[in-house]
Amino acid sequence: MALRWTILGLALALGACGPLNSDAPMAVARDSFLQARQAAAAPPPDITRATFEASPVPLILVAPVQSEEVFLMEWVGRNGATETYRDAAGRSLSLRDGVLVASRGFGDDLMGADTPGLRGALARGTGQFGRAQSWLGPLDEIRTERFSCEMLTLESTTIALFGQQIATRQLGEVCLRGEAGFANNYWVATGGDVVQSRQWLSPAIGYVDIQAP
Amino acid sequence: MTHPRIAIAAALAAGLATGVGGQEAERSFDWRTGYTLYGTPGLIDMPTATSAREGEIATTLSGFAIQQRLSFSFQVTDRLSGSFRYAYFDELGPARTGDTYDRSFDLQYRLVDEDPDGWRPAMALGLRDFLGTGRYSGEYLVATKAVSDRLRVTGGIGWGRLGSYNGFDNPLGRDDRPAFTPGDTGGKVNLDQFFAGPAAFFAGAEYQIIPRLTLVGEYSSDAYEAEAENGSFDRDVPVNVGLRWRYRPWAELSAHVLHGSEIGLSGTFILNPQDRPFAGGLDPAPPPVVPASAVHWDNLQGAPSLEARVAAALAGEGLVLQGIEQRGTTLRVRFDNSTYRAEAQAIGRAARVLTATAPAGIETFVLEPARQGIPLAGVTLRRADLERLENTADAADALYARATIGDAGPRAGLTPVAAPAPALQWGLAPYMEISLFDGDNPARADGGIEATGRYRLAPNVSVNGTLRYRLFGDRSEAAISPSTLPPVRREVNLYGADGGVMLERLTLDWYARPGQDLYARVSLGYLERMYGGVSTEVLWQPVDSRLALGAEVNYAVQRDRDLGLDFDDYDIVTGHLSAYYDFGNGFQGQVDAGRYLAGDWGATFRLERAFDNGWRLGGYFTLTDVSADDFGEGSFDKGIVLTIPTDWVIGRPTRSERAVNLASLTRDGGARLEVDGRLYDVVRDAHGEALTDGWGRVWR
Repeated sequence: MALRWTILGLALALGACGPLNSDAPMAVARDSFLQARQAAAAPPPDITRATFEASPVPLILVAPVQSEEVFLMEWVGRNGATETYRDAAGRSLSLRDGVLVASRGFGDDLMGADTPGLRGALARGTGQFGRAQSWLGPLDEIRTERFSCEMLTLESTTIALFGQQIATRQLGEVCLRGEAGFANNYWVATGGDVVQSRQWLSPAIGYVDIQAP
Repeated sequence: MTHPRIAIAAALAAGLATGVGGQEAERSFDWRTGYTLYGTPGLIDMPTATSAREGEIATTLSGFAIQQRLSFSFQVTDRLSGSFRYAYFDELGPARTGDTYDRSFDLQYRLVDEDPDGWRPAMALGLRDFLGTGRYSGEYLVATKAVSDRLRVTGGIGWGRLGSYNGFDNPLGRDDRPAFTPGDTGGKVNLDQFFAGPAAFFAGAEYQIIPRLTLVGEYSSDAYEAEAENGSFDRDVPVNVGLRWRYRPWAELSAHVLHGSEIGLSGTFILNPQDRPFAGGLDPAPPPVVPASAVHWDNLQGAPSLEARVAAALAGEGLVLQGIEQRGTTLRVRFDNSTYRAEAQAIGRAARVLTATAPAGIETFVLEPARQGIPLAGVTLRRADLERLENTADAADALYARATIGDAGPRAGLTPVAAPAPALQWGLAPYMEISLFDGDNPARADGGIEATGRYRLAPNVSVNGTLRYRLFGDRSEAAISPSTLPPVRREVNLYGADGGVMLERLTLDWYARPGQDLYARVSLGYLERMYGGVSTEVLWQPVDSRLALGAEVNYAVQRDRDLGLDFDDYDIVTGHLSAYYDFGNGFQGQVDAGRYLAGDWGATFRLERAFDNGWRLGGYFTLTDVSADDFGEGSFDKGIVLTIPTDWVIGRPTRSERAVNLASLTRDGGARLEVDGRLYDVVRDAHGEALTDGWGRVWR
């Protein structure tokens, strides 16, 4: 309960101080992110590194945080820098350089996103940029919201991913629009690939965890 | 479980996300309005100047003493609400003449918005029971002001019932108010009563004890004269008090002490088309756009033909390829969409399919959605735009800006495609038919098994049939009041009353495009439950036109009541000229003028509020040369039709929808032949506003 209040206070503090220009709230955010030590993720018994290696197409492991559900998605196509993955139930996620830009089949789906500057910020581990995201409204209208975002390098950490130790940099991205917003986490391997992330999808679906070993 | 555990960052994230989603959740608990025992926005009996959320549909069941009411209130626009009510009184009147059922209609319009920072209250003008027998008739002008976050006060002046207690001389000088006449057929607009007779003041307050629990009190200007006179109601004090509990955003329960002597209870169920249970729907993901540079069909040995692979890929999306034409760098594809409610979604999926299947040299796609085998529109999209815009923000608007929308091209040039789907399609499902308010019974239900079949002879020619077998319910008791008109509709409940296998419909249907912007239909056979014959129709409707014009001529023969193959003696030529107009903002009007089934001449006026997600709420009335006395109860034909798209309910793509007729009393005057698949219904989804309004789904 105490944690929740802290977070709420933090969220308010972030909002109250405007779009990421003040150092103080970002320092608080940074501290919180830094505590975000990843517990060693035990892979599901039936999904191992062999599962990924045996697959003729690339796979990602997806776990919507609210639902306790974990499933694999198969690569189905590439358009420019965007890779689309899909599962047997008809859900799909589209990742642009590892960044979630669209989903389908989840219900409250992310219809599309513009993330200029995000790629550079991921590579540099720092930077401020804007994000535009579109959702489908209740009357089949498109609602687009624009966020002001900032990328932070949190720490270098080695994560266990399906039996392999991978050296990564953990990056945090805080995006705000007025008093609302979201915070994404990326674990970037030495080669620049996002091998693990927790990214915000939509108000109803919340966050999804994505692993791409 | 194997989530990557990122505890605190996640928690931080969750906290922030509450900021985004939380506002939405709070809004649904807001303190917009409560509902009265009449099912209208207000206090207990008295109105307030508050309005529900736009589009809200509130169903209220309420009761006290000898009265029970079922009411439907619709917030038609932000300011206008309308209500329809069905009331039951046991033994009304001094003579205790027996059970009485009564229908009534109300309207309320918010004239002035409340100034939350200043002193100006919200003000509204209302008419109660303005179209019925007049039992509840009253008019009012009411003002409501929130004094604090938790206290809201209301005051107003009422006429009619609402001016019956402690009244004073009519301030407008309209002293004479015609009395309510029991036994009247009702159904006329009570113009001579409006704001006539004595007026009186009423007042009330609402206090929010905790966010979902509200204490309500009012000083009532309704003297309950008729009820007091017949001894069914004791009116000790002019005050009502009660508690209102909004225990879910969609449910409200109230309990009241009425005039110091009676207990009133009510429950309201609130539905809003804007609250989609499955958000945008759980439609399976569409295939991703494939860049032309990644398409290698041209070089593949033994690859299936263009038609074959497009047909197969479209079939995977629930679309049926009907024709294809490659000319230069343009690929034109005609397909039947029987899967997606929003035509734009079918267009988007077809376009995605083409990016993966069209040869690399193709630069432009022309997509022609068709229904019943006839093309409805031609949407031209550039392949490069699809590649560039996929998965970007505002991609739907951007694609729309680059699309060209016009009429479909000619059939000439298209390579016809052998139908991949089986020619015969059939289905077996339970059915339930509820007839509301047949004048004697508030609701009557029967149900059983329904078999439907469709045999396609050509893309635009098919045989369609529906058979039913009833397992429960009895229609034979439906009360039918006498009439001087031929029984063209009032005995509809007796059709199939004997049970057995019932042929509901068996028709041969032919559709065609006789020219640009023109559509035609011929239906032959057992057209509906009561009539067989032939129905012919033409429609003029350009793709981007707000106006459409149609003409229909039918020869109808009345069927036998056993719903077999036989016919009765009555036959008639009926027909209408129709004009359809799209006013924008979701409002659509329709006028049908012509000859009705009883041989009466007249016109039907229809106004519909269509929500972009497929919900439609329409009202209609028909005036013909049949007099009110000949028509009988209700004086003329009228009704309210609520149409709910099935995809809204189940979250999966489907074109099916349910129409509920809430307020019709089936009589013989102004009765129209029912024909499935009238042209306007077939064409409208792919045209003009409907196509634009659903465009948000183009990338879905």
